[in-house]
Amino acid sequence: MKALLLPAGLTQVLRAMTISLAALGGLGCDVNSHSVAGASSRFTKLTHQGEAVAAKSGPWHCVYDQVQGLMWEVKSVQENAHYYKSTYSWFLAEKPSQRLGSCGVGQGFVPCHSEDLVRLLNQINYCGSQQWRVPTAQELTSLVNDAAYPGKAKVPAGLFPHTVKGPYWSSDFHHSQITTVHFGSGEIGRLGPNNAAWLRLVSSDDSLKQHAAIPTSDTLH
Amino acid sequence: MKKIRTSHVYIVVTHLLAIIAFFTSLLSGFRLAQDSDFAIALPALFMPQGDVYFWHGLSALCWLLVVILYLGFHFLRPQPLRISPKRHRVIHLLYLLLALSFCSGVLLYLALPNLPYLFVQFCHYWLALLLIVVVIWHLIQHLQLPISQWLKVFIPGRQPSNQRRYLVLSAAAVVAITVSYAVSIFYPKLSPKLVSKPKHVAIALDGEATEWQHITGTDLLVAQGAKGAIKTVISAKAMHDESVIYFLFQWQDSSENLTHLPLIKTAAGWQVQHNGFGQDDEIGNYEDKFALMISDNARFGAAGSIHLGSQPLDNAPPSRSGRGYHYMQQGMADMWQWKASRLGHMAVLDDDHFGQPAPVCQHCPRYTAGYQADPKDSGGYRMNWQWFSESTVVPLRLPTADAWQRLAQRKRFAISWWDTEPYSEHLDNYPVGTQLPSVLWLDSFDGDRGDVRAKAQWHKGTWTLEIARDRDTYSEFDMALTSGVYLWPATFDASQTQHSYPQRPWQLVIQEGS
Repeated sequence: MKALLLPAGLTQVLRAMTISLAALGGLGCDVNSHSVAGASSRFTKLTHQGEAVAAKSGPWHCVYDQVQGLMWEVKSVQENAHYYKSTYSWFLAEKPSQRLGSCGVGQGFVPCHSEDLVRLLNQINYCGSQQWRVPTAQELTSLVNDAAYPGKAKVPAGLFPHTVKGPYWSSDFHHSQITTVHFGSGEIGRLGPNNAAWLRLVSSDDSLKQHAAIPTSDTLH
Repeated sequence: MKKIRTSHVYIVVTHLLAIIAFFTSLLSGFRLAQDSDFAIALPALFMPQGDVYFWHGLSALCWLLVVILYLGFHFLRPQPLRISPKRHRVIHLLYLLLALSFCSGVLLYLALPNLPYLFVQFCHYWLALLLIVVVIWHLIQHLQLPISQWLKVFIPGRQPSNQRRYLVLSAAAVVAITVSYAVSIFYPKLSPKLVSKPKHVAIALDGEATEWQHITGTDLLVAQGAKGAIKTVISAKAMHDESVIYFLFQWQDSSENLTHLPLIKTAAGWQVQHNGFGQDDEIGNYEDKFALMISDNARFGAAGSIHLGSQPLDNAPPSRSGRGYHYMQQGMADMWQWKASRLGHMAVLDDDHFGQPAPVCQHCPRYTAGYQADPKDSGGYRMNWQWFSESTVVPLRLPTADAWQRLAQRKRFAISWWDTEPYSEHLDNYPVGTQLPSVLWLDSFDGDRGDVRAKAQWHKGTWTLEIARDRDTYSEFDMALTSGVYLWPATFDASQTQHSYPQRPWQLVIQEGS
């Protein structure tokens, strides 16, 4: 129903009455302790061509982190290179043919390792970058959102859909083990390279700085 | 110096309470009435936001207190109340309208199944408007008097010393307060009971009531909902064994609505056929649904989960529908949603909950405050667009060739994910006017969200829904189903968020033994 228009003076009086009544408790203009704060404007959504997308719009294929200066791959529900359920073994240069992950392709799955995805994204200049790589543990940890709603993956809300609540590979290799970050618990763990885990690639290309000052207004794109 | 005119302290207190009750019930009532087609459009500032049901219920108790105090004073005072004959008519009209308003409000709260609910609701609203007119008339009459005369009703005077009079009047006040308090504490006991009997038959969850013939049910009237003028009676039955509790719900619905936001090919591209979906207020192009909220209290206003208004929550986005949010100030309420199309292929319903408001998401188009789905690891359904837009959308998937043939042979409201392939322009050779389903069926929910099994059938104007769930899932997102919990049902007739609801819930009683 459309509201009627009132003279400004009367509007002010009525607003004061409403606020006074609300101040008795339980009525918003809320005096309660359940106010929620807005998220920061740290992240920008990008298309696969690297164009900015307004904050509440879509679709998007990458996310630029202004604080870290990193661009992240966003996973997809389509059974293609970005399929969110694909798992990868960790690429070992001394054993390049050992593919122990399962990557969704069309109607089935093929064996794969992390370097397969790195090579592919760089080859197609995904989101305008040819410097895709496996993130470091520190970079991956920067995505962990401990304020995520209970039961949901611990990623920044609304930016990384289809994030599995499981371990994701980092590039940190020590004593035959690779550091992983678990996006269900936010915990850091370790896995041997012959295991299969999930993977989200990152780019720290200098050309990404063009995204640094992009406003997140809904008038974009 | 002129003597200041005063009134008896009880008159002053009763009159002040009546003023507070009048404004509280009026303003909160205006907000509650906005779901009804007959309500007059009012400026948003006339209507408070938030837990308005609580205040409307509290004002009713306040009126009860006013009535008891006034009657006590009327019968126990030493001399008659002096009212000018000129103002008699207005005062008696006030008494009449207040009495009718209070009684109609009680009838609406009790909502007995045979009540002409929508008619009583209409009367309750217009009585409120008439009261405004009479109160203004009352004010005008008094403002015409010398200021000392109309101010005296606000100024208590010293009474002659009379211990007996004070004792009697004090007793009246204590009785009034005690009765009001008792009503507020015990009114949940007025909840109708849904008694769950021990199960002695095998129940096939198929949406048919054959196993339930020997069980006595209970009815609950629900009203409001889409189009603002719906009144439905929901029938319920329950059975249980040591691990599982089963429910049967039935309600009238003239049509089986399965078409859910279909995609239509136009000259400009694919469009979602909708009527308000972008504002979370779709009516018409939407599936039928049924919801059941489970709470640990029967507090007026769906256990405190309803917060009305366009922005009932500070520092959160305004409600896109303008109607408000569901959230709990503390604790949680379990909430089950059966969906006719999106979950039509599975024998489950959507296990959700109402909790405290979620943090605001800057990158999410829709904010739902405390209304959240229980966690899942996979499964369920997806909508067949890459991103919803009011103008055109790009489908997420297209049917494979053989699936397209099968789709043509039955209702095109949903399709299995595995009968489709990723959308690409070179595959999109569909002519203008082609309709595609927007619901993509996946497999069963994996996780908390799939805790509740359900199956429904529509037959000759009646939906029959069977539900089964473990009595205790041990999930932090679920309520254990024990004696004493309250069940609040709601029906959605081809609408996304506008649903019917009861004023009082069922209270579950689990009858143990054979």
